[in-house]
Amino acid sequence: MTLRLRLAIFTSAFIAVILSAVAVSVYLLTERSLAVAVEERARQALADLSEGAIATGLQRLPGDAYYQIILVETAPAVPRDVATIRNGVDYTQPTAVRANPTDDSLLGLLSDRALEDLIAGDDLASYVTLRNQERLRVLGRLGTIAFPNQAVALTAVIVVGLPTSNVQRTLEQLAQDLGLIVLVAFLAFAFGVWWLARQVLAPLQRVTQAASRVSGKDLSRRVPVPGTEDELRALALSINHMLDRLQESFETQRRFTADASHELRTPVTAIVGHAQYVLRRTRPSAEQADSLRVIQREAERMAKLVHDLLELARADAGFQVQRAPMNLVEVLEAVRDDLAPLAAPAAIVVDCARPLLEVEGDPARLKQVVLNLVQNALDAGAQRVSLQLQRDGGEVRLEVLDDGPGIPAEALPHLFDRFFRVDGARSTRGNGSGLGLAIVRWIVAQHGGSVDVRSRVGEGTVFTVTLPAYDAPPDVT
Amino acid sequence: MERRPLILIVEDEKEIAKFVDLELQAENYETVVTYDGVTGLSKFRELNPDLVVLDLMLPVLDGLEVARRIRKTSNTPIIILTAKDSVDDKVTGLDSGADDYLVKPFSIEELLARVRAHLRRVNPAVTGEVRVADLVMNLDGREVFRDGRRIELSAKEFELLELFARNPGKVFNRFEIEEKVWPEYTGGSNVVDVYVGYLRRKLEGEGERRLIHTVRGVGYVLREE
Repeated sequence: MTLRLRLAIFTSAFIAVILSAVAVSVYLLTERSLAVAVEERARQALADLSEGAIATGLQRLPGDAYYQIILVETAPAVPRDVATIRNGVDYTQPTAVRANPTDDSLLGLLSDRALEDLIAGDDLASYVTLRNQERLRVLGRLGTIAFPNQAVALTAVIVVGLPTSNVQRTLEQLAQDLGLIVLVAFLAFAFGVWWLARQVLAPLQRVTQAASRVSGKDLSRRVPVPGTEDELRALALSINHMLDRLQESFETQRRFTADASHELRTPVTAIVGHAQYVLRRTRPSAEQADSLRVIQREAERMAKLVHDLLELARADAGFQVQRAPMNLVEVLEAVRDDLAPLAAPAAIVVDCARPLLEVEGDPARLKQVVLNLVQNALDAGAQRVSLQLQRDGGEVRLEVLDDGPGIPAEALPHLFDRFFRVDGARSTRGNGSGLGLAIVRWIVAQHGGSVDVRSRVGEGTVFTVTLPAYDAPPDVT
Repeated sequence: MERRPLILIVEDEKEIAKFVDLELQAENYETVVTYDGVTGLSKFRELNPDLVVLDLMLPVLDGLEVARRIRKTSNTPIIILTAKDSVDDKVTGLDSGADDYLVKPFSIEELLARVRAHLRRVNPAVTGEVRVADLVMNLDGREVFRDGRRIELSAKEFELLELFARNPGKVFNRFEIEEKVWPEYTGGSNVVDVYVGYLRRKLEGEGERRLIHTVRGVGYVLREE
């Protein structure tokens, strides 16, 4: 997961929690204050009805209020039980009855438990739901109704109901609005964070891209240094500083290898030349001749090492091989013809059904590849090296099979490393410089191909070189 | 008695100059050795040798410059010896007027073979050579020159060119060619066409005129037109 994504997700999640908490608080607070408002109005209505004259109270009753007055005792007294209340006479004057589409009796909807509060001398407080699903906040009180022109005062239960539906609707609307606001705010914020993260991280990304373009082949590139005085500038500067030092040491090493190889060529040439001269043009004794041949052979080995080192110094310097269409079959035949006389009694066999398999390549370097692979097999003690070449779709596949001792599995991953030797020791067996396979890999890579190895101890080894095939455009002449 | 060819050696590495000198003398050439470019150039003017073996990195006046100055007044073959072997160095060496280029460490047999080939080129009486127009094939040394320019050919390319050069004006069909140059394979490939293409690319590398011509519906022929 990228830093940008992580940053955006974490910040957005955090803000989502905050926004939700705020929304829930707003909702709960609103709900409470709305409930309090209803309660207030109901209390006011109850007070109006139960204190003073009923007629006045009724006039002051809010338009949406329900009420019911039930006469329960003919004298001021607390009713004995709930049944007494339920058996009371509904005094609600027809003229004063509010629009009550359900014609429900509030008393009938109240529970016994709520009514018991009245008997205990408390106010009644409850909720009821009418048949038309309207929910009411109901308050009730035991009161005395005095009739102005009569001398009797009756005990009555006064019940007032105020609908909470408005509150409900308001809360639903509020929840909807809050949800929408939270969602929009969240999206805006997430987008903003995403954008901001990009703004902040863009210089970092530029640094990263530039750094990844710097490779062993091209150490001269540098990371762009932002003009701002911040952490990114420090990062870019320290990367560049590191690259300077890397390039310097890389250059020194490469130049050293190249110079050393150049300088070694002259003495090696002189040694081989003089040894050959004495061998060819004078008459050394048998012992002297042996000794001269050792000088010549070892000097030639050194020459090969120098050549290989220079070749790898070139590879490190990013040297590109020159490629032109060429016939790979002939390369194999040339290697066979060059090595067969020296390899006898070991046999080198070219196995290809066709006289022509073209690749785009540098003939001398591809010959080097095959030479190195075959020479390795012979040095390891193979008695038969088979070169199998075939076209496989858009590729040409060369397999170098030998019946040598094989390579232990643990050595295979390091086979193409410089100066790696299978037997571990810096043995002098064979003429190898220890660089042959590193060169093979470089040359093959330069040709857009790949090289692979499979081996089984005691059975032999197969090197597989795969190169892109070349198909000549149809000849027009 | 016939005059022995005179070879001028210009090489600042004394040990290398020494064995090259010894080997050339053993091959019955007359030799003069100098160790820097200025002396080399004055010896060249004084002695007018038949061939020059020239090192590239010389004190005072470097090998490329020596080759350029020799080339201004003379066609004497020049073989360059050098420790540099990149393609650019090779091209510069040949452009400066050198005829051939050997990279150290070189094998002495190779140097001697090249010396023989270049001397033979300036002395056409020698056998083992096929000439068609400005094309010279040295069959012993398996070397090919076009207008003095050495051309590197692979074994099959050489065989094919030899087939044509030995029979200039003769038209070969593809089947004949395949039978002679690729006897180990049965026909059915376009190997002949491809190799004619390779040869043309190499023989005409410097914009020279075409030597191997297509005879439509028949095959190929080498002739001067």
